[in-house]
Parts: sequence; structure tokens; C-alpha cells
Amino acid sequence: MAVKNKRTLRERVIEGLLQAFILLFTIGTIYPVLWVFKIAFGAQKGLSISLSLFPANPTTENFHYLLFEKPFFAWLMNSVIVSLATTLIGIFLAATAGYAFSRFRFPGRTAGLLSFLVTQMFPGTMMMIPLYLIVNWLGLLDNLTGLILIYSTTAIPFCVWMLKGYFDTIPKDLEESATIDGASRSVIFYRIILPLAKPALAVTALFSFMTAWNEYIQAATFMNRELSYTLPVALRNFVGQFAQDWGFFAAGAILVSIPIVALFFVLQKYLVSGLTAGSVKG
Amino acid sequence: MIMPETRKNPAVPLALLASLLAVLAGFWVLDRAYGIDRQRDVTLVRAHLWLRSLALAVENGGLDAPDRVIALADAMRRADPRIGTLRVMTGTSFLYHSDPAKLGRDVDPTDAADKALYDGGVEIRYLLKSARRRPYLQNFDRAGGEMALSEPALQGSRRSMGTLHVDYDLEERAHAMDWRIWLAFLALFLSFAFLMRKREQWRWPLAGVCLLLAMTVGSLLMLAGHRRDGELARADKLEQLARVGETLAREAPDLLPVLVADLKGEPFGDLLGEWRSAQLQGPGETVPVRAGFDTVRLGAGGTLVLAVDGAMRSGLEKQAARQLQVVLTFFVILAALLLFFIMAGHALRTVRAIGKYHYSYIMIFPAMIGLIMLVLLPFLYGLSMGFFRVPPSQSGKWVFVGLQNFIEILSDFHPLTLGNFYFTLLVTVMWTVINVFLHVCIGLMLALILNRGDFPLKRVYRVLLILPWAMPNYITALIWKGMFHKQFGAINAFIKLLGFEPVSFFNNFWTAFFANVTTNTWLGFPFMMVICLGALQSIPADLYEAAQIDGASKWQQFRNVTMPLLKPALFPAVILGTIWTFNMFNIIYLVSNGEPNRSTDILITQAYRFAFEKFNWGYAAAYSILIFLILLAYGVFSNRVTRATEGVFD
Repeated sequence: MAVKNKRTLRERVIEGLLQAFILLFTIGTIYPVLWVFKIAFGAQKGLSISLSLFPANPTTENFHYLLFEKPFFAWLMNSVIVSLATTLIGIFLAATAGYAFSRFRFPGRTAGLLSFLVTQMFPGTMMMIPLYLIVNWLGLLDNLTGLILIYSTTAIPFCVWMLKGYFDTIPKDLEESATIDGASRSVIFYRIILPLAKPALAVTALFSFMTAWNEYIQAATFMNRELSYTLPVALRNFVGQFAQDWGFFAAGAILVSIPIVALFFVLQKYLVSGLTAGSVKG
Repeated sequence: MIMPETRKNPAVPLALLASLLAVLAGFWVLDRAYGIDRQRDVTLVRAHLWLRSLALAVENGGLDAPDRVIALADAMRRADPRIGTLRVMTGTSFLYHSDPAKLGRDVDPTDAADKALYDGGVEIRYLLKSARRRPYLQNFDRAGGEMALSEPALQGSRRSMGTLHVDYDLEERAHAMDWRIWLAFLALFLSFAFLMRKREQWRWPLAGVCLLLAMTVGSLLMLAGHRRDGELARADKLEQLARVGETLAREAPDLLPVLVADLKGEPFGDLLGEWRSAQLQGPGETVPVRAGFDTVRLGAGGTLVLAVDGAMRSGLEKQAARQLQVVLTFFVILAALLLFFIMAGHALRTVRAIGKYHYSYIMIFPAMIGLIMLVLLPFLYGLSMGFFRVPPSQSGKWVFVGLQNFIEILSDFHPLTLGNFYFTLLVTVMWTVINVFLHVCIGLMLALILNRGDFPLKRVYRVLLILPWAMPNYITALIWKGMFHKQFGAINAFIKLLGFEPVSFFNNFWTAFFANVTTNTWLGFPFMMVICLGALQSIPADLYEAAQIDGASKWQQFRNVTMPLLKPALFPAVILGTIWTFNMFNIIYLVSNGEPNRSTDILITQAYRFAFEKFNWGYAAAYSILIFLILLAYGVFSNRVTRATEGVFD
């Protein structure tokens, strides 16, 4: 990019305005997050009407109550198990399917791809009743396995599409030379392609994990006992119709968000490349 | 690109084994599901018969003569060892308690079990009043092997005079999936393996036939097993009836006719099922017993015969039978189609295709199976629900009404009726358009700013601006709801700072809508920003240089270099974003919850309310189908126009 040594006043002013704008915008964006911290560290039921971000009497009693009086760790375990299982199943199934859709041409390929796309459009309410009946029928109500099954199948279409897009960008010469060297298809897939696809796999894993970790409505429908709640359901009940415990909710919100935000930041450099792979030509 | 076959593929027998195992697993799952159903059914009937008799004792003078109730309860526990704890609570004391220390004492509010029973009583009273569901509570604790059943003792037909509770043991039942099925599968597999050695080139047709045979044989065997199971269940229920009758005949013979009369009555009617009549035959009498009746001989004195007409097929069993019929019909149709298929020569072609591309099919099989079972099938089920009217009470029949639901939804032209389709559609479209527009504008703007080469603190801003996306969206929805709170919210604090009156955001359509849009925009712009950033970064810098040399202004550069190269990345994102926003349930439900008066509800939240608040499932399903059709039309249309998926299927 051509560098101009002298910057006109107009350019400087514009630059300054832009910086101010972004600063204000960012502050506005993270304000709600900081507001949660304020409530979490404030007194239990006190919501005071002030813009200040510092609680009047900082205390950690919300965290104490949440961690020790409520079965927080049970909820945490539930969420962790469900999310991890969904991620593993999602990646494994989507990787093989994405590879097949990308590399091979077989009858039913277009139909298969289309069906993955169209199922994204199914409204959740339409699926919930049949899913409830099916899960009930399988005796898996109130059971983490049922939730894992449902989340996996919800996450798979998106993952297949993303991985397929990424596999499309890997040049086929690698595989051809490997075949000439005598490698079987499984070897090619596991030893050559998968390691190359790490960014896309990371993004897929992140999305699957996020889908399962953040999902509220289906977990609320299928889990009945307090001990089998996942974190979203448990937190929601603090500020639902029957309670207004914003302090506990805020404390829980912070605890719940930390892992997912951390994961996000660790993997965020893959986000950009993973999302736009194959869409920009040339 | 097709991979050439370089050597004999060991995948064939593995594929067949996997398929056989999958079918076996399918049968096992089906069997387990029916087994659980059956167990629930039988246990419920057994426990209910005891509780009902005891309740009758309470209803008929039990409060004045508690000793009779106590004696009856003790006799019941002696007669049936499966009864665990048995409690009768009237008012706030225990008329009967299987723990002798608590018999006759008051309910102890600090004891968890007592409190649970008391709460159960309250809930049962509520169920009685609302008359929408049957007034009993059941809870199956599979880990403990027990079922807990709570029922009321009725005063009149809608009032409760006390609550009875029993913990009843769940009994393991035989499975239909027994050794014969395993043997059949094993035999088939062995014969296939044997034949394969002999006839290499018939591998795939043989595999197909083998699989088909396995499924047919398995289904037939399982059907037979279920029929046998059904007979056993019925026998068990009748045996329980005999036992109850005997105990009653011994301890409280005057209650026996009351029980017989009560067997069919509301409000427990569906529990015991379809009995047309039950008649008591006393000594010296004769009750005409027709073929197909069950007779239950009560041993007391050996002279009482209970003639039961209707064979006690409960609602659950009928449903199971109906389901089995559906499955069987499905199979028959499938078999007919298959036959036609084979005859027309297609089969061989398909089999050859599968053989040729088997590796691909194996690789997509797991994902497709999950998709079919847990997405496609529920979708079809939901689709068919839209053509039925489902009555709110659980035991009601589903009535096929054809397009009635759709006509009702689409012909309601009064925009102010609650849940009106057109009004909600308007709100939804407005919601989607505004949100996507804001997302794209803000995202693009931020991406352009942050993409400038030497912007200070670029990394920090990028990381911070992704935060709304990173946080779980139900949490942020609730946070924003808190921020829009009338008394304690930060937004109103800000408004007060500016000198205005605090606003009640959720009392007015426009302010509530504004609250929803603000939340969703806050949540949604990072996604667009990231996409734009990625696309911007892959535009080569030479293009800008060339344009600059040619004398293009910044704006012209933007229009002619940036925008065209952004489009391939933006279009899929916009289409996807539109679909997600259209179906954005969480924000609307959690932030404004449709206030005021369901006016800020979008289509999907309306459908949810019809399903889970009004229990009008057919209507909700029809609503959902309309949502889906709208989105489908939009998807197809935008695809045509923007060619967003061009090249994707190549």
C-alpha cells in the first residue's frame, strides 16, 4: 500500500473520529458484560438504579451460595458431559461425511447435501413435540443420552457443510500422489487430510461445543429433575417467573461464560479462515 | 474424482456386519421401548387398583371409622409384597402410614417425603379443578426400581378429601427380543458368509437379500413376541384384579360392588382402559359370560365371579397397538414397493451403484442415519400432526381434519386477535429485515474500520467486539432484559441521567420491539463483522493500488473493488443470518416474552405458545409448517437471485 508521509489535516481528523467512534462503540458493546460483573458482586437481591459499574457493597456471597448451596457442580458436570460428547460425535460424523461429499461423486450426493441444508430451516417448535415423544418412547427423558443425541444431530448439518467447504480447498494432488504411493483410502483420510484440516476441525468443534453448551429450550423441555438440569436451564430458573434472583443469575452467568469465551478467544484465529474458506475465489 | 479400486476391499463383510448390527440395534431399541411401555402400563394398573380400593374405603365412611381403613391397608400390604410405602393423608395428618411410628400423626413439614406428599396433594387438587389432565401423579424411578403413584380420595367428582400414595415395585418383564432372533440373525450371517465364498460376483445382491430377510424375520419374531407379551400383561392385570377383589371381599365386602361400579368411571377411566362393563356374580346368581370376556374368579368362598368385558386394554396399550399397526403397514407398503422395484430391474442397477460407490456410502452412513432418525422422521411426524386436531386432554383422540388447521390460520383477517398469523408475519418480517440490515451495516462498517492497516489497538478491539457472540445468547438475552428493567435497568438509569422519565419498556409494542431489536443487533453484528473481515483480508492489495493509480476515490474503490469481492462471502452469510433471525426464538422469548399481549411475538414463538401453553398441537404444527414453507420459498428464491450456492454442488 502506497505510504504517504504527509497526512493532511482532513485525514487526521477522520482518523481521530474513527478512533473515537470505535472506542465508544466498543465500550457500549462490553458495557452489558461489565454490568453483569457488577450485579454478581453486589448484594443478593439488590438491583440499584445506577449506571456505575461498581457495586455498592462488593461481596462474594452470590458465588458462595451458587457454588455451595445449589447443585452447581452437578449442573456443570451435566453441561460438560453433554457438550463434550456432542463435540466428539459431531466432529467424527461430520468429518467423514464432509470428506465423502467433497471428494466423491455418487448418486444421491446433491440430494444429501441439499437435505443437510434444508433441515437447517426446520422450525424448532415443529421438531420439539415429535422429539419429545421419541425421546420419551426411548425412555431417555431426563437422561443426558437423549440430549446428546438431539444436539449431535442438530449440529451435524452445519458441520458437514463447513468441513465440506474446507475440504474442497485442499488440493487433490496430495491424495493422488499418496494413492500412487500405494496408500489406502483410510490412510489418506486419517493421516493426510485430517491433520491438514485442523483449522476447520477446530471451528467445527467450537460450534458443536457452543451449540450444546448454550442450548436452552430443548434442555428445559427434556430435563425434569433439578439435578439433571444443564447450566442454561438452571440459570434461567433464577430469573424466571417464580424468582428474581439476579445476583445468583449474574454469578452463574460469569462462571458459565468463562470457559466458552476462553475457548472462543483461543480458537478465534481459525474462525475467520474457517468461515470464509472456499467462498472467496481467486 | 473417483478413487480406483486397487485391491479387494475388506470393507464388504464389515459393511454387512455393521448393517446387521445396526438392524439388531434398531430392534433392541424398539423392544426396549415397548418393554418400558408395557412395564409402566402393568405397574400402573396394579398400583392403581390397590389405591382405588383404599380410596373407596376412605370415601365411604373412612373418616369416621379409620380402623377399617387401617385394617384394609394392612391386609393389602400382606397380600401384595410389591407394595413398599403406603400412605393415606387426610387434612394434615396420616390416616394410614406404613411406618407405624407415623400412623395417626400429623404431617411433618420438615420431612422431605411428607412435604412431597403434601405438595402432591395440592397439585392433585389443582388437576381436579382444571379437569384437563387426569388427577393422579406418577413417577418412575428406574434406578430404585420403584414407581410412586399418588391419587385423591374423591368427595363428589371434583373435590379431594385426601391423598393416597404408594411406592410400588417395578417388575422386570420378559423381552420379546429373545434368543430366537439372535439365532435367526446368526444363521443368516453364516449362510451369507458361506455363500459369499462360493459366488464372488453375487456379493452385493446376496448382501441385500440377506439384510432384507433379517429385517423381515426379525420383525415377525418381534411381533409374535409382542403379542405374547400383551397376553401376559393382560393376564397379570386380571390376576391383580383378582387379588384386590379377594382382599376386599375378606376385609370390606360392602365395598366390592362399589369398586366394580367404579372400575370404569371418570376421572381415572383411561388407566384401566376400555371396559364396557364389569359385573359381579354373587352366590346363586348367573352372569351371562360371552366369548371374549374375561372372568375373574374371586376366591373368597369361591362363589364370586367377576365378569369383565373389554379385556383391560388401557390407553397406552391401544396406542402401542396402533403404532405397531402403523409400522406393520409401513413394512407391507415398503415390501410391495421393493417387489415392484426389483421386478422393474431397478434393484440390480441400484445394487451395482451401491457396490461401486460403497466407500462413499459407508462414510456418509453414520451422519445420514442420525439425520434421518432424529431430524427427518420428527419432521415428517410434525408435518403430519398439522393435519390433525389434537384435543388438549391427554386421553383424547386425534381427529383427522385435513386442511382445517391451515384454513383457520390463514383466514383470520382480524389483525388484533391474539396470535393472528398475518400480524405476526408482519412483525416477523419487520424484525428480520431491520435486524439483518443493522447487522450487515454495523458489521461491515466495523470491519472496514478495523481493516485499515495501521489502526492502533486493532487486535484488542477485534477481540472485544467478538464478545457478544462468544457469550451464550440466553445469558445475554436475560442480561439485556435486566438492563431494560423499569426500576433497576441501566437503560432507564441512562435515560434518567439525560433528564427524562424512566420508560416501562415492555408495556408498549414499539418500545418492546426496540428492546428486542437492540438485543439481537448487539448479539448479531460480530458474526457479520468476522465474515467481512475475513473477506476483506483476502482481497489482494494490488487491486486497491491499481485503482488508486487509475485515480479512483475512496468511495469508488469501495464500490468497484471491495463490494463485488465481498459479495460471495456476504451472500451466504446474509441468507443464513436471515433464516436464523426469522427463527430467533431465544431473544423474543426471553427478552420481551411477547409483551405486550403477545404482540411482539414472532411466528416461531407463537407456534411455541400454541404448542406448550395452549396444548393445541395440531394448530402449532400447522403454524410451524407455514413457517417452514415461507423459509423454503425464501431460500429457493434468494438462491436463484444471488446464485449464492453456485459452484457449491460441483
